[in-house]
Amino acid sequence: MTRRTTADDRLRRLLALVPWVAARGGADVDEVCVRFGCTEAELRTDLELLFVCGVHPFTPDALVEAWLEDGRVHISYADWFRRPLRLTPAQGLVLMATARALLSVPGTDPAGPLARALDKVAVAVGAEPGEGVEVELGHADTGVLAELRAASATSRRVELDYYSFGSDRFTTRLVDPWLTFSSGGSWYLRGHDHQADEPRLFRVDRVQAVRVTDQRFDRPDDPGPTEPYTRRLGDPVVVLELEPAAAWVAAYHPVDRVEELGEGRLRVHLAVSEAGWLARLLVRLGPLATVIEGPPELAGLGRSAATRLLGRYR
Amino acid sequence: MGTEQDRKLERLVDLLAALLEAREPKTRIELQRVVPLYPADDVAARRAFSRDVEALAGMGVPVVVADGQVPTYRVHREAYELPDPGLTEEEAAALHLALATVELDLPEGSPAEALWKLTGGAAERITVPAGSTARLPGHQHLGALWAAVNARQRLSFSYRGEAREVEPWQLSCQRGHWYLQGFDAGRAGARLYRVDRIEGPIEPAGPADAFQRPTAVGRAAPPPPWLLGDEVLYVARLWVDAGQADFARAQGASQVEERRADGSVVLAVPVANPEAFRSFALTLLDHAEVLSPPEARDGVIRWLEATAR
Repeated sequence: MTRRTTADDRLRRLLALVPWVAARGGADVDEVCVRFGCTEAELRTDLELLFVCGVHPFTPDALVEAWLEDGRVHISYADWFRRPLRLTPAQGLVLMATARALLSVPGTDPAGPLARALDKVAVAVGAEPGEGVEVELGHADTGVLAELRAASATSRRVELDYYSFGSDRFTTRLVDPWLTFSSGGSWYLRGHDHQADEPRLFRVDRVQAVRVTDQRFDRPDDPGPTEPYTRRLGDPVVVLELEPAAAWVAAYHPVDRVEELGEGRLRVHLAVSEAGWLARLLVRLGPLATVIEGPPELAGLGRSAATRLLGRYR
Repeated sequence: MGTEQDRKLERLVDLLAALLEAREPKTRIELQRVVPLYPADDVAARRAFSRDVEALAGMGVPVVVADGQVPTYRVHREAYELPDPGLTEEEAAALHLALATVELDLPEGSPAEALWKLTGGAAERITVPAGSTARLPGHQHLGALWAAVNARQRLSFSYRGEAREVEPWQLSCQRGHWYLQGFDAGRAGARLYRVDRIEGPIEPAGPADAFQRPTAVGRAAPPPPWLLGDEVLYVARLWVDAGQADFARAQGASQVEERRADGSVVLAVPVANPEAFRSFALTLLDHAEVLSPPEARDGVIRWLEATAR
């Protein structure tokens, strides 16, 4: 954490740590530090401070007792803080939504420990089990996704029948499936593409078929970011001016620079991985976007795609 | 870590203990009398006190403020204390793994702090199994919407330029966006709202426990973007070629009206939001064509003409 620790941060930690330690009649310093993410020095400072806390008239029986001794933390008489503070609504939602998300992934036991934990947490945060929040991580074929995840977990090379949205073509690819991830409501596969001989990203809902081979692969230590698009060196950049109704582009696509032009209009610098992707975006945005700068082969893409499509409609 | 911060922390702990201890609401002066460390100067003390109350409320302490001639403060213990969920070690580990695998970033939604409260944190570093993670989009309104869903409390907000009063039933995250399902009181019907399109603030409108949630809401699939509107305007016919037919249907245009010999299909698509439907059709580029009704087809042609210009 680069942010400086504030009094609020320390209070949040104490309010969770005190009931946990007190309920156990003491705990190992090392364990408390690991569980609550602090150093022994920080723990010592906070406990010394807690030692003088309490309520009026601050007689010994109205003060918290807290001390460190022989590598153990002891806390008693902290009756005001016998239970942790309730979860904030956002914390409750984060727990429920992430657990439901993981339960929706093929391979997770729908009646296993996570499902049971979710029901208990729902009660503790005042929600009704199984209601109030639904999460879908992506629209992929569950069979394809399950096969890719299994192949990734067992380090098996796969052959994919794949439709590339960016280049608008069907191909068959030999891929080392490094990892699968969901982002922005779609499942992706990142892996080494043997034809291209470089790491590539595949959208799982664009995989028509998977054949698992018996060849094994070694996963790199860093399989790369779990982002739908990562800027490659040398990706060309176009500069777009967006009307207010197209301002969402700045939030949904990784833009290098955003300038406010007033009245809700934006100028964005957008890195382009594939021409087909930009053509789709420009046709969708239509008159809401103007390319004001960029390589000539990209700048005219929206216009040429629209002209071509008009041919079909006329 | 200066002594100034230590003093503030000590004051916050004492104030919270006094608020939890209080049998009846207390005024600021009464609380300051039992909580030392406030500045002697009354103006400075007042400022420090209201900052402290804000800090406690900000982290979720249910401080009840009664605005009378002299405001009073109190924290009800049963509203403060988290009931013990009684998680087994295996269940706690499953939760830790879920939070390490799936990311959802919300204001005041720290997963680490949530786990401190529920399980006393993790005794060892959580290792995520090789090869899978997921990220859900965050939004500032989600905490407030979720609170209202659970409290069954009506909300007022503005959407598509109109004021709404809504009984919030359920949040759902689909296709990378959060949606609120609920009953629109002004329109007397069930509606779906995209959370990032809710305009301006969200305010509670009325008391908690104000309505019953329909039991089937959890199983209702959220409609695709072109059905996000107040009423269906027309059923469009969309031709899609063989290669893209499955993809188009998976996006929610599931009703096949006609299958052609070349494997292409004509889909019947009910449309409540013409702009979203146009975007969907155009995203398919040469693989799709809007056949009818004329207003939808003409809309695409006009859009393409404006783009080709």
